[in-house]
Amino acid sequence: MENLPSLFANIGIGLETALSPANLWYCFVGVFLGTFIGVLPGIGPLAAMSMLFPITFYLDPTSALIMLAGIWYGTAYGSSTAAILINVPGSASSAVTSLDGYPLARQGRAGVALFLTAAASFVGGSIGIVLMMLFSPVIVAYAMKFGSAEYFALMVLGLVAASSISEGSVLKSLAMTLAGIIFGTVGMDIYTGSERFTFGMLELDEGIGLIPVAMGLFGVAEVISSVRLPPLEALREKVTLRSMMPTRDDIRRSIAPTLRGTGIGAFFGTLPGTGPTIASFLSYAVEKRVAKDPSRFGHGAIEGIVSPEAANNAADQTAFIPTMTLGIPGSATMALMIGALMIQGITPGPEMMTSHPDVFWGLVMSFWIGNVLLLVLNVPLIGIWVRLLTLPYHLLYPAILAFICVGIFGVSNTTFGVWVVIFFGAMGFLMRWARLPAASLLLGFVLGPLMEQHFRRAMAISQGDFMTFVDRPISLGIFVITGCILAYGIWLHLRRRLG
Amino acid sequence: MTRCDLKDVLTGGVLAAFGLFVFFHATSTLEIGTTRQMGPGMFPAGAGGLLAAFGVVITVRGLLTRAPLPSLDVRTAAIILAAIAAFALLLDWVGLVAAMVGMTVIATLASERSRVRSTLILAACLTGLAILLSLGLGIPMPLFTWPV
Repeated sequence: MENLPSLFANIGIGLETALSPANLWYCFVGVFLGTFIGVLPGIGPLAAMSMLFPITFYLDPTSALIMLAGIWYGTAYGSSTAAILINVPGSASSAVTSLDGYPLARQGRAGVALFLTAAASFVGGSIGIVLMMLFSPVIVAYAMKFGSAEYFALMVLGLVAASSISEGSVLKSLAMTLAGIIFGTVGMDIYTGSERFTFGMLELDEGIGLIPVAMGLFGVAEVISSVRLPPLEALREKVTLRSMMPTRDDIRRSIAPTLRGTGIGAFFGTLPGTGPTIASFLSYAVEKRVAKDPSRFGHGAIEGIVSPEAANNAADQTAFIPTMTLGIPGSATMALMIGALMIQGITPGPEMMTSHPDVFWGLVMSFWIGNVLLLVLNVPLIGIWVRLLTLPYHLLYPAILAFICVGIFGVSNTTFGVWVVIFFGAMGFLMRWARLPAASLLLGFVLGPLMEQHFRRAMAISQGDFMTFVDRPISLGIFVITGCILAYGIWLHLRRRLG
Repeated sequence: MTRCDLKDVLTGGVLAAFGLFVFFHATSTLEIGTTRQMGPGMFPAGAGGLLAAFGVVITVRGLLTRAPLPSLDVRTAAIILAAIAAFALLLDWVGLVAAMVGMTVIATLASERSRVRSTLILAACLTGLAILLSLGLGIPMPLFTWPV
């Protein structure tokens, strides 16, 4: 435990950074906007993040990251509110919450459900943060030994795992990852300076921007598919502060499931490709399995909402561990985080922890503050969120488009970025039709350039010998794991098809 | 039409074509290099070739399975994309105010629930919001410009 003093020193650096008035403000803004957009119908977390991305462009790296992270867990909370009150989960990870949350709301216990959701999320998130603080330095110390071959292997592992475990076709996910890698190569080659796929357009010299790609694929495509959403029927009854008080029995029932959910979420959050959605589904299944009376599930069982909520929040936090320590995102959301850092000129990875300790520890500490803010914010503001739920989408989507248009112009200062948004918007629309996952494309797009760099460097060091990836034990181990995951993914897929 | 999964056949075909295009474009216009000293073309060519192979597999799989063709809401997509395009064109031509109004009016055509009155109010509000945003973030967008 000789690391303990440095851990406290790091917490000090983090608190100092996160508690600065500016960062506190951006944390608040992020959480508020995130919750705001999360409860709005038809806008998922990825669309919300890409929509608000341009604002962070004007901030320093730490504030930008703090705000983006706030938006992310804010949307997660907002979408569980929507899941409980009107049975329309804003994101896949809160879909489970509606299974028991909505019946609770129908029984007039919406307040209790909302409060316990917030409390379980807070516990799950907090434990996730502690794990992140403890494990990140260990992983970083280990990762310092990694060379380019290991990084290349890890990135392949991340991309393959994300494709194999996600729902839908493994083949299509991998194909989209490759397409993303190809779009990532557009622009000037950093080694030789030759132009790749720019077709004479000077604007493409520096490559395609992450922001227009994310806005097109998630923002615009989501607007197109939600324009015809029917208006939602909101809950009539009012959610008062008093109605949020859980009974002693509710609390007693919540403790063990919250902790179990946290454990499941913390574990799956760190793995590439699994993340909050799988964690929340799995923890629901586990609760149903261990319950004395499984028949209560689906009819308003408290355990059925607290466990998945704790799981998805814990996963939300631990997902940052591989992202920040190795620079390898496990999901499209984490890819956006990495992208935000790279736009700011910081390459995430083990070096970041030593060269920019304030960014990492400031972010970690801001998670705490953000989670507290969520709790404080949501209890009194619940009335506003309920009203937002009924906002008609035909007034909402032009506003989203306005945000996208102005935001993208603000980032690039030319209308070229707007045309890139249109291109990727059209592509995102067609991809939804073809059931091609846009998240995989984004992941490939962000990781592609890094992969190429490490691949070329590793090959140069080994004098062109492909065996370098197999001769180095760590790299070999990672490739073996990758192969196993791919085989498992294909097996799962075949079984689903045949049976 | 239900004899195969037409959607996947098409998807695979498009992906294969795109992959092949990338492969040939990279190999013909960029230097491939050697494994020891890789040129700028090797990585994209590899990715393109692999993507083409995946596309072929998706097509073949599509030919072997049956699935109905999902509908494609081209009208909505066209209107929304046209609205954004209008923003880009009008902004360069006559400035932010006209661009926002034009974008909003075109965008509202996509929903049958839009009314003239609500559209006009919305256009005014969003233009105000855009002006505030551009001033607040210091984005250089002229409110009005004269077409030259």
